[in-house]
Amino acid sequence: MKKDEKTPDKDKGRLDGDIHIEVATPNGVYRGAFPKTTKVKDVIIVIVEDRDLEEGDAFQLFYGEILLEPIERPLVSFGLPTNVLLTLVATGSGV
Amino acid sequence: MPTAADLTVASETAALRDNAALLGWSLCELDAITFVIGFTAEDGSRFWCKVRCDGYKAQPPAWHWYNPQTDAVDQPCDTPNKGGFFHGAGVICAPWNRLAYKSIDPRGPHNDWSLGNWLTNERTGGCRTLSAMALRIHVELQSGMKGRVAA
Repeated sequence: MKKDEKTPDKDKGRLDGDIHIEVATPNGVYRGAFPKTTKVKDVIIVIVEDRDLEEGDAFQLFYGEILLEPIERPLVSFGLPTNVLLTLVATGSGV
Repeated sequence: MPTAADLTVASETAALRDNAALLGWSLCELDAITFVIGFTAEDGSRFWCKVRCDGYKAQPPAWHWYNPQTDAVDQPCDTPNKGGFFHGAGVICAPWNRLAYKSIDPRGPHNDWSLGNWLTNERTGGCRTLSAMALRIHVELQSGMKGRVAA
């Protein structure tokens, strides 16, 4: 798990088969790379910390309309491409 | 002299701009406390919200469905048809939307929520920033849509 701010790391990640993610979050954009076997829950933990979000809040990670749950599953199991755009959404609604 | 709402909105605008650039939202800041944001739904159609943030965060913003051509708000033809979160009354049904409160808007489904407690309402969850709210709307527009409330 490494924050993707340096080009050499980014290139290395690609060679290693990492998944590079760009994530729209409630506090701006997160960019990073993770081994494809990383569990979704661990990705969420890293993003929440990096973007200074409230750890006690509940978040869901989406790939387009696809909710990446259960969060115990690894990224690769959702068929994500090597470079992927995700959204981290805070739960909360009325109805 | 900037108001507290001006400063709070300004502090959240950078994140909103970053997300807009990443997700293809259109974002137009009309003044210090008002902006228009456009989303693309799952069928490729566009929906806009005009968001008024006066009093933010003492009270939540008002998320109006909006037509940038006519400048009209709250028209059925500009309102997504999905039900649930996009309430049939034409308002986004969440404590973080001022229009969901019947005391503010007669279409508001809720008279059981307190406007001043919106940040601690359990249904607000983590939707306490403008970006969090916009992301929730974005995701809701990605599935289960049935067009617009009216043609």
